[in-house]
Amino acid sequence: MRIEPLEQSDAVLVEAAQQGRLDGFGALYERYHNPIVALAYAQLGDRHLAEDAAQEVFAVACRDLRSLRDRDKFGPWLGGICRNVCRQMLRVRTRIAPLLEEPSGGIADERFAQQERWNAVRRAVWELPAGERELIVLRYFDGFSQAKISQVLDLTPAAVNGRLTRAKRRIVKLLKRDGFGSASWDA
Amino acid sequence: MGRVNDDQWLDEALNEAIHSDDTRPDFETWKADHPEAVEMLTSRTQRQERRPPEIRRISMNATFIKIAAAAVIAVAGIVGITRLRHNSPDNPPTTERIVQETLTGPTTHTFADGSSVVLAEGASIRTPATAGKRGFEHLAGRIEVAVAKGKGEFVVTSPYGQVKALGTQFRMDMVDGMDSQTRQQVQLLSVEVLEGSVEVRNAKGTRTLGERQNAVVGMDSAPYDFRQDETLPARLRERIAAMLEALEAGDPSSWIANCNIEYMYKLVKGQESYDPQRFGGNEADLERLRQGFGDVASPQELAQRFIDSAGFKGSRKLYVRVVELSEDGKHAQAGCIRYKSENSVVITRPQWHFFDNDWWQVDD
Repeated sequence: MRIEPLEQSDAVLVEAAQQGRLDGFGALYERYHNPIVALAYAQLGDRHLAEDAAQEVFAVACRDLRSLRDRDKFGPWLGGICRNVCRQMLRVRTRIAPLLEEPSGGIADERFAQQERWNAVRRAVWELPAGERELIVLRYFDGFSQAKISQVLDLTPAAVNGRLTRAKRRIVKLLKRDGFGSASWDA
Repeated sequence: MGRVNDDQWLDEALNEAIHSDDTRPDFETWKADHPEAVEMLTSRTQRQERRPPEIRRISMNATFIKIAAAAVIAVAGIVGITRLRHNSPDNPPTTERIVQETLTGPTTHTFADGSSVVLAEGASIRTPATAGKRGFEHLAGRIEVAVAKGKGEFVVTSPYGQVKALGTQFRMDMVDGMDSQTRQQVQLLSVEVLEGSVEVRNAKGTRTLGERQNAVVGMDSAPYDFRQDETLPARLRERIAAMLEALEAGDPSSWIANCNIEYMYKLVKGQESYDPQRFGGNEADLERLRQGFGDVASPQELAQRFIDSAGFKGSRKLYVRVVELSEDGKHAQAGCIRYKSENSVVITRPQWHFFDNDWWQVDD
Protein backbone atom coordinates (compact mmCIF):
# COMPACT_ATOMS: atom_id res chain seq x y z
CA MET A 1 0.00 0.00 0.00
CA ARG A 2 1.83 3.10 -1.18
CA ILE A 3 0.96 6.50 -2.48
CA GLU A 4 4.27 8.00 -3.50
CA PRO A 5 4.72 11.41 -1.93
CA LEU A 6 4.77 13.94 -4.74
CA GLU A 7 5.86 16.93 -2.71
CA GLN A 8 7.02 17.57 0.81
CA SER A 9 4.64 19.00 3.37
CA ASP A 10 4.74 22.67 4.34
CA ALA A 11 6.15 21.77 7.76
CA VAL A 12 9.12 19.91 6.24
CA LEU A 13 9.87 22.76 3.85
CA VAL A 14 9.53 25.39 6.57
CA GLU A 15 11.90 23.45 8.82
CA ALA A 16 14.44 23.18 5.99
CA ALA A 17 14.14 26.90 5.27
CA GLN A 18 14.46 27.75 8.97
CA GLN A 19 17.74 25.86 8.91
CA GLY A 20 18.93 28.17 6.15
CA ARG A 21 18.08 26.05 3.13
CA LEU A 22 16.99 28.36 0.34
CA ASP A 23 15.60 25.49 -1.77
CA GLY A 24 13.05 24.87 0.98
CA PHE A 25 11.91 28.47 0.84
CA GLY A 26 11.93 28.29 -2.96
CA ALA A 27 9.51 25.36 -2.88
CA LEU A 28 7.22 27.29 -0.55
CA TYR A 29 7.44 30.28 -2.87
CA GLU A 30 6.42 28.16 -5.86
CA ARG A 31 3.57 26.61 -3.87
CA TYR A 32 2.09 29.80 -2.45
CA HIS A 33 2.95 32.50 -4.96
CA ASN A 34 -0.28 32.38 -6.94
CA PRO A 35 -2.62 32.06 -3.93
CA ILE A 36 -0.87 35.05 -2.34
CA VAL A 37 -1.20 37.11 -5.53
CA ALA A 38 -4.91 36.19 -5.54
CA LEU A 39 -5.30 37.12 -1.89
CA ALA A 40 -3.57 40.45 -2.51
CA TYR A 41 -5.77 41.03 -5.54
CA ALA A 42 -8.80 40.51 -3.30
CA GLN A 43 -7.51 43.30 -1.03
CA LEU A 44 -6.19 45.72 -3.65
CA GLY A 45 -8.34 45.17 -6.73
CA ASP A 46 -5.39 45.63 -9.05
CA ARG A 47 -3.47 42.71 -10.55
CA HIS A 48 -0.18 44.59 -10.97
CA LEU A 49 -0.27 45.92 -7.43
CA ALA A 50 -1.13 42.43 -6.23
CA GLU A 51 2.00 41.04 -7.94
CA ASP A 52 4.09 43.72 -6.22
CA ALA A 53 2.46 42.97 -2.88
CA ALA A 54 3.21 39.25 -3.26
CA GLN A 55 6.90 40.01 -3.81
CA GLU A 56 6.95 42.02 -0.59
CA VAL A 57 5.01 39.34 1.30
CA PHE A 58 7.68 36.75 0.50
CA ALA A 59 10.43 39.19 1.42
CA VAL A 60 8.83 39.70 4.86
CA ALA A 61 8.26 35.95 5.21
CA CYS A 62 11.87 35.20 4.30
CA ARG A 63 13.15 37.64 6.91
CA ASP A 64 10.78 36.49 9.66
CA LEU A 65 10.48 32.78 8.92
CA ARG A 66 12.48 31.76 11.97
CA SER A 67 9.81 33.29 14.19
CA LEU A 68 7.20 30.83 12.86
CA ARG A 69 6.74 28.12 15.49
CA ASP A 70 3.73 26.17 14.15
CA ARG A 71 5.23 25.05 10.87
CA ASP A 72 1.95 23.49 9.69
CA LYS A 73 0.43 26.96 9.74
CA PHE A 74 2.73 28.47 7.13
CA GLY A 75 -0.19 29.17 4.75
CA PRO A 76 -2.33 31.14 7.22
CA TRP A 77 0.80 32.89 8.55
CA LEU A 78 1.70 34.00 5.02
CA GLY A 79 -1.91 35.08 4.48
CA GLY A 80 -1.67 37.28 7.56
CA ILE A 81 1.52 38.90 6.26
CA CYS A 82 -0.24 39.48 2.95
CA ARG A 83 -3.14 41.32 4.58
CA ASN A 84 -0.69 43.52 6.55
CA VAL A 85 1.36 44.34 3.45
CA CYS A 86 -1.81 45.21 1.53
CA ARG A 87 -3.07 47.42 4.36
CA GLN A 88 0.20 49.32 4.26
CA MET A 89 -0.07 49.72 0.50
CA LEU A 90 -3.63 50.98 0.82
CA ARG A 91 -2.58 53.53 3.43
CA VAL A 92 -0.39 55.31 0.92
CA ARG A 93 -3.06 55.43 -1.73
CA THR A 94 -6.79 55.57 -1.56
CA ARG A 95 -8.57 52.31 -1.97
CA ILE A 96 -8.50 51.32 -5.57
CA ALA A 97 -11.72 50.12 -7.11
CA PRO A 98 -11.37 46.92 -9.06
CA LEU A 99 -9.96 47.58 -12.47
CA LEU A 100 -12.87 47.73 -14.78
CA GLU A 101 -11.65 47.32 -18.29
CA GLU A 102 -13.20 50.23 -20.11
CA PRO A 103 -14.10 49.24 -23.64
CA SER A 104 -12.36 51.37 -26.23
CA GLY A 105 -14.27 53.40 -28.80
CA GLY A 106 -15.69 51.61 -31.80
CA ILE A 107 -16.05 48.33 -29.96
CA ALA A 108 -18.83 46.10 -31.22
CA ASP A 109 -22.10 46.28 -29.32
CA GLU A 110 -22.01 42.62 -28.43
CA ARG A 111 -18.47 42.88 -27.02
CA PHE A 112 -19.44 46.02 -25.15
CA ALA A 113 -22.42 44.28 -23.56
CA GLN A 114 -20.19 41.36 -22.56
CA GLN A 115 -17.69 43.73 -20.92
CA GLU A 116 -20.53 45.40 -19.07
CA ARG A 117 -21.65 42.07 -17.69
CA TRP A 118 -18.14 41.12 -16.54
CA ASN A 119 -17.71 44.55 -14.96
CA ALA A 120 -20.98 44.00 -13.13
CA VAL A 121 -19.66 40.70 -11.82
CA ARG A 122 -16.41 42.36 -10.65
CA ARG A 123 -18.33 45.14 -8.94
CA ALA A 124 -20.51 42.57 -7.18
CA VAL A 125 -17.43 40.65 -6.00
CA TRP A 126 -15.87 43.79 -4.58
CA GLU A 127 -19.06 44.62 -2.73
CA LEU A 128 -18.85 41.37 -0.79
CA PRO A 129 -17.62 41.35 2.81
CA ALA A 130 -13.81 40.99 2.88
CA GLY A 131 -13.84 37.33 3.96
CA GLU A 132 -16.22 36.27 1.19
CA ARG A 133 -14.38 38.37 -1.39
CA GLU A 134 -11.11 36.62 -0.49
CA LEU A 135 -12.74 33.23 -0.94
CA ILE A 136 -14.29 34.07 -4.31
CA VAL A 137 -11.10 35.60 -5.69
CA LEU A 138 -8.96 32.69 -4.45
CA ARG A 139 -11.39 30.23 -6.02
CA TYR A 140 -11.63 31.88 -9.42
CA PHE A 141 -8.29 33.66 -9.84
CA ASP A 142 -6.46 30.44 -10.62
CA GLY A 143 -8.99 27.70 -9.87
CA PHE A 144 -7.55 26.85 -6.47
CA SER A 145 -9.12 23.84 -4.80
CA GLN A 146 -11.04 24.18 -1.57
CA ALA A 147 -8.20 22.31 0.15
CA LYS A 148 -5.68 24.87 -1.10
CA ILE A 149 -7.90 27.76 -0.06
CA SER A 150 -8.36 26.22 3.37
CA GLN A 151 -4.55 26.08 3.74
CA VAL A 152 -4.23 29.83 3.16
CA LEU A 153 -7.29 30.99 5.08
CA ASP A 154 -7.04 28.48 7.94
CA LEU A 155 -10.57 27.19 7.40
CA THR A 156 -11.79 23.62 7.02
CA PRO A 157 -12.67 22.60 3.43
CA ALA A 158 -16.28 22.22 4.57
CA ALA A 159 -16.29 25.79 5.88
CA VAL A 160 -14.77 27.00 2.60
CA ASN A 161 -17.50 25.18 0.70
CA GLY A 162 -20.29 26.68 2.83
CA ARG A 163 -18.94 30.21 2.66
CA LEU A 164 -18.37 29.98 -1.11
CA THR A 165 -21.98 28.97 -1.57
CA ARG A 166 -23.17 31.90 0.55
CA ALA A 167 -20.88 34.32 -1.30
CA LYS A 168 -22.18 33.15 -4.67
CA ARG A 169 -25.78 33.61 -3.52
CA ARG A 170 -24.92 37.15 -2.45
CA ILE A 171 -23.33 37.87 -5.84
CA VAL A 172 -26.50 36.73 -7.60
CA LYS A 173 -28.55 39.12 -5.43
CA LEU A 174 -26.20 42.03 -6.16
CA LEU A 175 -26.35 41.34 -9.89
CA LYS A 176 -30.13 41.31 -9.82
CA ARG A 177 -30.14 44.56 -7.85
CA ASP A 178 -27.99 46.18 -10.53
CA GLY A 179 -30.38 45.17 -13.26
CA PHE A 180 -28.42 42.24 -14.58
CA GLY A 181 -31.34 39.84 -14.45
CA SER A 182 -31.76 36.70 -16.44
CA ALA A 183 -32.58 38.56 -19.67
CA SER A 184 -29.18 40.30 -19.59
CA TRP A 185 -27.29 37.02 -19.36
CA ASP A 186 -29.21 35.39 -22.14
CA ALA A 187 -28.40 38.29 -24.45
CA MET B 1 -35.69 31.38 -12.55
CA GLY B 2 -33.37 32.78 -15.19
CA ARG B 3 -29.82 31.88 -15.96
CA VAL B 4 -28.56 34.23 -13.31
CA ASN B 5 -29.34 31.49 -10.80
CA ASP B 6 -27.50 28.86 -12.76
CA ASP B 7 -24.36 27.87 -10.85
CA GLN B 8 -22.54 26.78 -13.96
CA TRP B 9 -23.17 30.14 -15.57
CA LEU B 10 -22.01 31.91 -12.43
CA ASP B 11 -18.80 29.84 -12.41
CA GLU B 12 -18.15 30.86 -16.01
CA ALA B 13 -18.94 34.52 -15.35
CA LEU B 14 -16.68 34.65 -12.28
CA ASN B 15 -13.92 33.00 -14.26
CA GLU B 16 -14.22 35.51 -17.05
CA ALA B 17 -14.24 38.40 -14.59
CA ILE B 18 -11.49 37.25 -12.23
CA HIS B 19 -9.42 34.45 -13.73
CA SER B 20 -5.77 35.14 -14.43
CA ASP B 21 -3.63 33.03 -16.73
CA ASP B 22 -0.51 35.15 -16.63
CA THR B 23 0.52 34.83 -12.98
CA ARG B 24 3.60 32.64 -12.75
CA PRO B 25 5.99 32.25 -9.82
CA ASP B 26 9.62 33.06 -10.67
CA PHE B 27 11.75 32.37 -7.63
CA GLU B 28 15.05 33.15 -9.38
CA THR B 29 13.91 36.69 -10.20
CA TRP B 30 12.52 37.16 -6.71
CA LYS B 31 15.84 36.01 -5.22
CA ALA B 32 17.78 38.47 -7.35
CA ASP B 33 15.44 41.29 -6.30
CA HIS B 34 15.63 40.53 -2.56
CA PRO B 35 19.27 39.76 -1.66
CA GLU B 36 18.91 41.10 1.89
CA ALA B 37 15.99 38.83 2.74
CA VAL B 38 17.81 35.84 1.25
CA GLU B 39 20.91 36.73 3.24
CA MET B 40 18.90 36.81 6.47
CA LEU B 41 17.49 33.37 5.80
CA THR B 42 20.65 31.65 4.69
CA SER B 43 23.10 33.26 7.10
CA ARG B 44 23.32 31.17 10.27
CA THR B 45 25.06 34.02 12.07
CA GLN B 46 21.80 35.89 11.97
CA ARG B 47 20.06 33.22 13.96
CA GLN B 48 18.92 34.49 17.30
CA GLU B 49 18.58 32.17 20.17
CA ARG B 50 15.22 32.56 21.79
CA ARG B 51 15.43 33.87 25.29
CA PRO B 52 13.32 32.25 27.94
CA PRO B 53 10.37 34.47 28.75
CA GLU B 54 11.12 36.91 31.46
CA ILE B 55 9.63 35.84 34.80
CA ARG B 56 8.11 38.62 36.71
CA ARG B 57 7.77 38.39 40.39
CA ILE B 58 4.29 39.17 41.54
CA SER B 59 4.30 40.77 44.92
CA MET B 60 1.22 40.24 47.00
CA ASN B 61 1.33 43.16 49.30
CA ALA B 62 -2.33 44.04 49.23
CA THR B 63 -4.55 42.01 51.55
CA PHE B 64 -7.38 41.71 49.03
CA ILE B 65 -5.00 40.10 46.52
CA LYS B 66 -4.01 37.51 49.12
CA ILE B 67 -7.69 36.77 49.89
CA ALA B 68 -8.51 36.49 46.20
CA ALA B 69 -5.57 34.14 45.64
CA ALA B 70 -6.66 31.95 48.56
CA ALA B 71 -10.20 31.77 47.13
CA VAL B 72 -8.90 30.74 43.72
CA ILE B 73 -6.74 28.01 45.27
CA ALA B 74 -9.69 26.72 47.30
CA VAL B 75 -12.00 26.57 44.26
CA ALA B 76 -9.29 24.86 42.20
CA GLY B 77 -8.82 22.32 44.99
CA ILE B 78 -12.55 21.48 45.14
CA VAL B 79 -12.75 21.16 41.35
CA GLY B 80 -9.65 18.94 41.32
CA ILE B 81 -11.00 16.59 44.02
CA THR B 82 -14.37 16.36 42.22
CA ARG B 83 -12.63 15.42 38.96
CA LEU B 84 -10.48 12.82 40.71
CA ARG B 85 -13.61 11.22 42.18
CA HIS B 86 -15.29 11.18 38.76
CA ASN B 87 -12.24 9.62 37.11
CA SER B 88 -11.70 6.92 39.70
CA PRO B 89 -12.26 3.30 38.54
CA ASP B 90 -15.52 3.17 40.54
CA ASN B 91 -16.90 6.23 38.78
CA PRO B 92 -15.90 6.04 35.11
CA PRO B 93 -16.41 9.25 33.14
CA THR B 94 -19.78 9.38 31.44
CA THR B 95 -18.53 11.40 28.50
CA GLU B 96 -15.18 10.93 26.80
CA ARG B 97 -13.40 14.09 25.77
CA ILE B 98 -12.50 14.11 22.06
CA VAL B 99 -9.07 15.43 21.20
CA GLN B 100 -9.10 15.95 17.46
CA GLU B 101 -6.06 16.35 15.28
CA THR B 102 -5.90 17.47 11.65
CA LEU B 103 -3.27 15.81 9.48
CA THR B 104 -2.17 16.98 6.05
CA GLY B 105 -0.30 15.06 3.37
CA PRO B 106 2.03 13.81 2.31
CA THR B 107 2.25 11.66 5.40
CA THR B 108 1.32 8.26 6.79
CA HIS B 109 -0.64 7.92 10.01
CA THR B 110 -0.94 4.71 12.00
CA PHE B 111 -3.85 4.36 14.44
CA ALA B 112 -3.66 2.65 17.83
CA ASP B 113 -5.45 -0.44 16.45
CA GLY B 114 -2.84 -0.90 13.70
CA SER B 115 -4.95 0.59 10.89
CA SER B 116 -3.16 3.13 8.75
CA VAL B 117 -3.86 5.88 6.25
CA VAL B 118 -1.53 7.27 3.61
CA LEU B 119 -2.22 10.90 2.66
CA ALA B 120 -1.06 12.19 -0.72
CA GLU B 121 0.04 15.79 -1.16
CA GLY B 122 -2.95 18.09 -0.61
CA ALA B 123 -4.94 15.49 1.32
CA SER B 124 -6.13 16.10 4.85
CA ILE B 125 -8.02 14.18 7.52
CA ARG B 126 -9.20 14.82 11.06
CA THR B 127 -8.89 12.10 13.70
CA PRO B 128 -10.83 10.72 15.40
CA ALA B 129 -14.24 11.44 13.90
CA THR B 130 -16.12 10.13 16.94
CA ALA B 131 -14.90 9.36 20.44
CA GLY B 132 -14.50 5.65 21.15
CA LYS B 133 -15.03 4.60 17.52
CA ARG B 134 -12.51 3.55 14.92
CA GLY B 135 -12.18 5.88 11.97
CA PHE B 136 -11.60 9.49 11.00
CA GLU B 137 -13.00 12.37 8.94
CA HIS B 138 -11.80 12.77 5.36
CA LEU B 139 -11.44 16.48 4.60
CA ALA B 140 -9.69 16.67 1.24
CA GLY B 141 -7.56 14.95 -1.38
CA ARG B 142 -6.44 11.40 -2.09
CA ILE B 143 -5.94 8.88 0.70
CA GLU B 144 -5.40 5.13 0.96
CA VAL B 145 -6.67 3.32 4.04
CA ALA B 146 -5.66 -0.12 5.39
CA VAL B 147 -8.00 -1.26 8.15
CA ALA B 148 -6.74 -3.69 10.79
CA LYS B 149 -8.90 -6.81 10.76
CA GLY B 150 -11.02 -8.29 13.54
CA LYS B 151 -11.48 -5.11 15.57
CA GLY B 152 -14.97 -3.99 14.61
CA GLU B 153 -16.21 -1.48 12.11
CA PHE B 154 -14.06 1.38 10.87
CA VAL B 155 -15.91 4.44 9.59
CA VAL B 156 -14.55 7.26 7.44
CA THR B 157 -16.89 10.24 7.29
CA SER B 158 -16.84 12.92 4.59
CA PRO B 159 -19.07 15.72 3.27
CA TYR B 160 -20.30 13.23 0.65
CA GLY B 161 -21.32 10.48 3.07
CA GLN B 162 -19.63 7.77 5.07
CA VAL B 163 -17.56 4.71 4.19
CA LYS B 164 -17.79 1.76 6.55
CA ALA B 165 -15.21 -1.02 6.36
CA LEU B 166 -14.43 -4.34 8.02
CA GLY B 167 -10.81 -5.46 7.65
CA THR B 168 -10.11 -4.02 4.25
CA GLN B 169 -8.01 -1.73 2.15
CA PHE B 170 -9.46 1.06 0.08
CA ARG B 171 -8.71 4.38 -1.59
CA MET B 172 -10.67 7.60 -1.33
CA ASP B 173 -10.18 10.56 -3.63
CA MET B 174 -12.00 13.81 -2.95
CA VAL B 175 -11.91 15.59 -6.31
CA ASP B 176 -12.34 19.33 -6.09
CA GLY B 177 -11.42 21.31 -9.16
CA MET B 178 -12.60 22.89 -12.37
CA ASP B 179 -12.97 21.40 -15.79
CA SER B 180 -10.00 22.91 -17.63
CA GLN B 181 -12.09 23.37 -20.76
CA THR B 182 -15.48 24.59 -19.56
CA ARG B 183 -14.38 25.93 -16.15
CA GLN B 184 -17.31 24.05 -14.65
CA GLN B 185 -16.85 23.20 -10.98
CA VAL B 186 -16.17 19.51 -10.35
CA GLN B 187 -16.66 17.96 -6.92
CA LEU B 188 -16.99 14.29 -6.11
CA LEU B 189 -15.71 11.54 -3.87
CA SER B 190 -14.37 8.31 -5.35
CA VAL B 191 -14.12 5.17 -3.23
CA GLU B 192 -12.15 2.23 -4.64
CA VAL B 193 -11.80 -1.10 -2.82
CA LEU B 194 -8.47 -2.88 -3.08
CA GLU B 195 -9.21 -5.72 -0.67
CA GLY B 196 -12.30 -6.85 1.27
CA SER B 197 -15.48 -4.79 1.03
CA VAL B 198 -16.88 -1.45 2.14
CA GLU B 199 -20.30 0.13 2.43
CA VAL B 200 -20.66 3.65 1.03
CA ARG B 201 -23.66 5.48 2.43
CA ASN B 202 -25.14 8.96 2.20
CA ALA B 203 -28.62 10.49 2.45
CA LYS B 204 -29.43 9.47 -1.13
CA GLY B 205 -28.52 5.80 -0.94
CA THR B 206 -26.17 2.99 0.02
CA ARG B 207 -23.82 0.90 -2.10
CA THR B 208 -21.70 -2.05 -1.03
CA LEU B 209 -18.46 -2.44 -2.94
CA GLY B 210 -16.37 -5.56 -3.33
CA GLU B 211 -12.77 -5.98 -4.36
CA ARG B 212 -11.69 -3.83 -7.36
CA GLN B 213 -15.04 -2.04 -7.35
CA ASN B 214 -15.33 1.72 -7.32
CA ALA B 215 -18.18 4.10 -6.50
CA VAL B 216 -18.45 7.78 -7.26
CA VAL B 217 -20.42 9.96 -4.84
CA GLY B 218 -21.70 13.45 -5.55
CA MET B 219 -22.79 15.90 -2.86
CA ASP B 220 -26.45 15.39 -3.81
CA SER B 221 -26.44 11.96 -5.42
CA ALA B 222 -26.37 8.36 -4.31
CA PRO B 223 -23.09 6.41 -4.59
CA TYR B 224 -22.84 5.28 -8.23
CA ASP B 225 -21.00 2.25 -9.57
CA PHE B 226 -21.70 1.53 -13.23
CA ARG B 227 -20.57 -2.07 -12.69
CA GLN B 228 -23.58 -2.55 -10.45
CA ASP B 229 -26.01 -0.56 -12.60
CA GLU B 230 -28.51 -3.26 -13.60
CA THR B 231 -30.24 -0.93 -16.08
CA LEU B 232 -27.18 -1.16 -18.33
CA PRO B 233 -26.52 -4.19 -20.57
CA ALA B 234 -23.75 -6.41 -19.14
CA ARG B 235 -21.67 -6.12 -22.31
CA LEU B 236 -21.85 -2.33 -22.18
CA ARG B 237 -20.58 -2.41 -18.60
CA GLU B 238 -17.69 -4.59 -19.77
CA ARG B 239 -16.86 -2.08 -22.48
CA ILE B 240 -16.90 0.85 -20.02
CA ALA B 241 -14.68 -1.08 -17.61
CA ALA B 242 -12.30 -1.91 -20.46
CA MET B 243 -12.11 1.77 -21.43
CA LEU B 244 -11.33 2.70 -17.82
CA GLU B 245 -8.58 0.13 -17.52
CA ALA B 246 -7.02 1.15 -20.83
CA LEU B 247 -7.03 4.86 -20.00
CA GLU B 248 -5.81 4.36 -16.45
CA ALA B 249 -3.02 2.10 -17.71
CA GLY B 250 -2.19 4.49 -20.56
CA ASP B 251 -2.58 1.58 -22.99
CA PRO B 252 -3.83 2.75 -26.44
CA SER B 253 -3.91 -0.83 -27.85
CA SER B 254 -6.47 -1.91 -25.26
CA TRP B 255 -8.45 1.26 -25.83
CA ILE B 256 -8.62 0.76 -29.60
CA ALA B 257 -9.91 -2.79 -28.99
CA ASN B 258 -13.18 -1.21 -27.80
CA CYS B 259 -13.78 0.40 -31.19
CA ASN B 260 -15.23 -1.32 -34.25
CA ILE B 261 -12.16 -1.10 -36.46
CA GLU B 262 -13.75 -3.04 -39.33
CA TYR B 263 -16.51 -0.43 -39.47
CA MET B 264 -14.06 2.46 -39.08
CA TYR B 265 -12.00 1.07 -41.97
CA LYS B 266 -15.05 0.98 -44.24
CA LEU B 267 -15.97 4.48 -43.11
CA VAL B 268 -12.50 5.81 -43.88
CA LYS B 269 -12.53 4.13 -47.25
CA GLY B 270 -15.94 5.60 -48.10
CA GLN B 271 -17.59 2.16 -48.11
CA GLU B 272 -19.92 3.23 -45.28
CA SER B 273 -21.86 6.47 -45.17
CA TYR B 274 -21.84 8.90 -42.25
CA ASP B 275 -23.99 7.84 -39.29
CA PRO B 276 -23.74 10.01 -36.15
CA GLN B 277 -24.78 7.11 -33.93
CA ARG B 278 -21.92 4.89 -35.12
CA PHE B 279 -19.33 7.64 -35.53
CA GLY B 280 -19.18 10.03 -32.60
CA GLY B 281 -17.92 13.08 -34.49
CA ASN B 282 -19.61 15.31 -37.05
CA GLU B 283 -19.21 15.15 -40.81
CA ALA B 284 -16.27 17.56 -40.76
CA ASP B 285 -14.51 15.23 -38.28
CA LEU B 286 -15.14 12.34 -40.65
CA GLU B 287 -13.67 14.31 -43.54
CA ARG B 288 -10.53 15.02 -41.50
CA LEU B 289 -10.34 11.34 -40.59
CA ARG B 290 -10.55 10.34 -44.24
CA GLN B 291 -7.84 12.84 -45.18
CA GLY B 292 -5.53 11.63 -42.41
CA PHE B 293 -6.08 7.88 -42.65
CA GLY B 294 -7.60 7.26 -46.08
CA ASP B 295 -4.37 5.70 -47.37
CA VAL B 296 -4.40 2.68 -45.00
CA ALA B 297 -4.45 -0.74 -46.64
CA SER B 298 -6.20 -2.79 -43.95
CA PRO B 299 -8.19 -2.52 -40.70
CA GLN B 300 -5.05 -3.69 -38.85
CA GLU B 301 -3.00 -0.86 -40.33
CA LEU B 302 -5.74 1.61 -39.41
CA ALA B 303 -5.73 0.33 -35.81
CA GLN B 304 -1.93 0.70 -35.66
CA ARG B 305 -2.13 4.24 -37.05
CA PHE B 306 -4.76 5.12 -34.45
CA ILE B 307 -2.51 3.70 -31.72
CA ASP B 308 0.50 5.63 -33.01
CA SER B 309 -1.45 8.88 -33.05
CA ALA B 310 -3.45 8.33 -29.86
CA GLY B 311 -1.20 10.65 -27.84
CA PHE B 312 -1.75 8.83 -24.54
CA LYS B 313 0.41 10.54 -21.96
CA GLY B 314 0.85 8.20 -19.04
CA SER B 315 -1.85 6.78 -16.82
CA ARG B 316 -4.54 8.98 -15.30
CA LYS B 317 -7.46 8.24 -13.04
CA LEU B 318 -10.92 8.36 -14.55
CA TYR B 319 -14.20 8.37 -12.63
CA VAL B 320 -17.57 7.50 -14.15
CA ARG B 321 -20.26 9.64 -12.50
CA VAL B 322 -23.23 8.51 -14.58
CA VAL B 323 -24.14 6.40 -17.62
CA GLU B 324 -27.30 7.28 -19.55
CA LEU B 325 -28.95 4.83 -21.90
CA SER B 326 -31.12 5.98 -24.85
CA GLU B 327 -34.80 5.02 -24.91
CA ASP B 328 -34.24 2.39 -27.58
CA GLY B 329 -31.44 0.91 -25.45
CA LYS B 330 -28.90 1.08 -28.28
CA HIS B 331 -26.89 4.17 -27.41
CA ALA B 332 -25.15 5.12 -24.18
CA GLN B 333 -23.27 8.16 -22.96
CA ALA B 334 -21.23 8.44 -19.77
CA GLY B 335 -20.32 11.49 -17.73
CA CYS B 336 -16.71 11.10 -16.58
CA ILE B 337 -14.08 13.07 -14.73
CA ARG B 338 -10.53 12.48 -15.88
CA TYR B 339 -7.32 13.83 -14.40
CA LYS B 340 -5.32 15.70 -17.04
CA SER B 341 -2.53 16.19 -14.53
CA GLU B 342 -2.22 15.91 -10.76
CA ASN B 343 -4.04 19.21 -10.33
CA SER B 344 -6.22 19.48 -13.38
CA VAL B 345 -9.40 17.63 -14.31
CA VAL B 346 -11.49 17.49 -17.45
CA ILE B 347 -15.08 16.39 -17.99
CA THR B 348 -15.44 13.80 -20.76
CA ARG B 349 -18.57 12.21 -22.26
CA PRO B 350 -17.63 8.99 -24.05
CA GLN B 351 -20.34 7.25 -26.05
CA TRP B 352 -21.11 3.67 -27.06
CA HIS B 353 -23.48 2.28 -29.70
CA PHE B 354 -24.84 -1.21 -30.27
CA PHE B 355 -24.31 -2.39 -33.85
CA ASP B 356 -22.74 -5.36 -35.65
CA ASN B 357 -23.98 -7.47 -32.69
CA ASP B 358 -21.85 -5.76 -30.06
CA TRP B 359 -21.41 -2.57 -28.05
CA TRP B 360 -18.67 -0.36 -29.52
CA GLN B 361 -17.15 2.82 -28.23
CA VAL B 362 -17.93 5.53 -30.78
CA ASP B 363 -16.65 8.67 -29.02
CA ASP B 364 -14.15 9.43 -26.29
